[in-house]
Amino acid sequence: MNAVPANRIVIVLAAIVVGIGFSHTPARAQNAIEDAIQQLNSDAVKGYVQPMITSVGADLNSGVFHSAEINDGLSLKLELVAMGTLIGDAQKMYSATAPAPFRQSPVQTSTIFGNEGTIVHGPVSGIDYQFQNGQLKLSIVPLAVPQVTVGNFFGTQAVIRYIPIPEVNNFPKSTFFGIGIRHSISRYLPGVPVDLAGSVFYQKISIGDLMEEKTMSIGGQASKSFSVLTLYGGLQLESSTMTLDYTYKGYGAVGAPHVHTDINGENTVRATLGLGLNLIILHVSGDVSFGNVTVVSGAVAFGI
Amino acid sequence: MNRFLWALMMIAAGCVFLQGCDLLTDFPLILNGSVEASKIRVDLATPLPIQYRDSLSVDLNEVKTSASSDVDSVRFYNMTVRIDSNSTPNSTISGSITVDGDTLVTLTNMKTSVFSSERSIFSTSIAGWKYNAVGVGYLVQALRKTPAPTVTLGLTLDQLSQPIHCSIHIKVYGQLFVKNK
Repeated sequence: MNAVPANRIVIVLAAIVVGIGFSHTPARAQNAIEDAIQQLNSDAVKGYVQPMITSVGADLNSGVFHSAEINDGLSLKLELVAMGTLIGDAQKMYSATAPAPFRQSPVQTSTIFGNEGTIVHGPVSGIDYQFQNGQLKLSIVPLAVPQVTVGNFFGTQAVIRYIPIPEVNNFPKSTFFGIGIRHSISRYLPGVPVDLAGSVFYQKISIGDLMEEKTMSIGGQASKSFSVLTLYGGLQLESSTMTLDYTYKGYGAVGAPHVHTDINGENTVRATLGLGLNLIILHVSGDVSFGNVTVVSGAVAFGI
Repeated sequence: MNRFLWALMMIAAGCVFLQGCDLLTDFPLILNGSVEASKIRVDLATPLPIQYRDSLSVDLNEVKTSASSDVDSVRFYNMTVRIDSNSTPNSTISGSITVDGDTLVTLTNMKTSVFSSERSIFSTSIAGWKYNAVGVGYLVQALRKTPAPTVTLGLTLDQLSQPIHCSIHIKVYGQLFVKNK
């Protein structure tokens, strides 16, 4: 294969970072997302950020494979994987209760992806409580990561992801790392007409100072190549958990109470179907995954 | 060929970047703001045959400045009373809290221990505790002004049959609407 100089990779990643950097809006004193979270106690924060946790987790658990073919011999692929979780109406509302002395029955209000927060009227005219407004205007939660796949030894390859992401338009600065292995199952089943593989993947993304999400996935994949095209699919069990660690600054906060809570993403199983185009060292692929949420993913890879 | 491939990669990165632009909604971020009036210390060792009065000034603009962000507007939504350093928890009190002379809330034969945690003036579950719409309306209007004025909170305790030793904290809450863009 044609070796890809490391400095070119650095140039591309730097270009992404610089491009994002130029897009900054004027700096706010605080970050809107982190500010919004700090206004919510441990009960309320779950519903407000749950769709973000699910979608980020679903994003991370995407784009790991584009084929199930893992043949022994040196293989190195450098990829840019882009994925996006679709945000529907179900991800824009949740049930919440206003603080006392307002009515203590739940109402539907906006999540972080929603519109205006619901207003609850108080006991006196002019005394109202408004739930937090939606802060992120997204119909799809995008994520793009560089990915290196290296192998294949004894039918096994390693997949590594890493990228530091600066603050983008008030989305907090983030650091992302992932590592996994894939192993050929076909090597034990030579008569099967399709390629089969299994994978285990662990990832971690730190978002700003308050949020850290970890994901784990285990899956099986199948693929069949037709000339330059590869049809692939898979089933995957996955988990994602976000740890929130912050100082509560909302109503009734006395003495800077600390909140530490783990919230699980709602996507736990998915089925993936995709198509790849392989042109010697250039590989382009796209797939869609169905589960609790729908995720689309695309990748451009160079290598063999 | 290599340049073409890198160009493709840059385009892909650019698409991701464009998708990332304009992430925020136009809806303001809502922050909690509050100002706590300096505590009123009450030390009455003997029963009080007449009314006890004390007052203090509260700069309502501090509700707005309690957030470091660019606050667009403020909405009053709660006021609470809390009593600590209380060595006479079983003593009962009656009286009122006023704002610039308008009654905010009245108390009737209430044990001071009821206020060991923050109690909203709007709470309807506390016997002997009743807000007054006129005083509340005054506070609502005051917080809508820019800048919000300094108001005088007054505490009046009626005749006491028992000694009182405690500190009374009054806190005003507002929701701060912060411009996102």
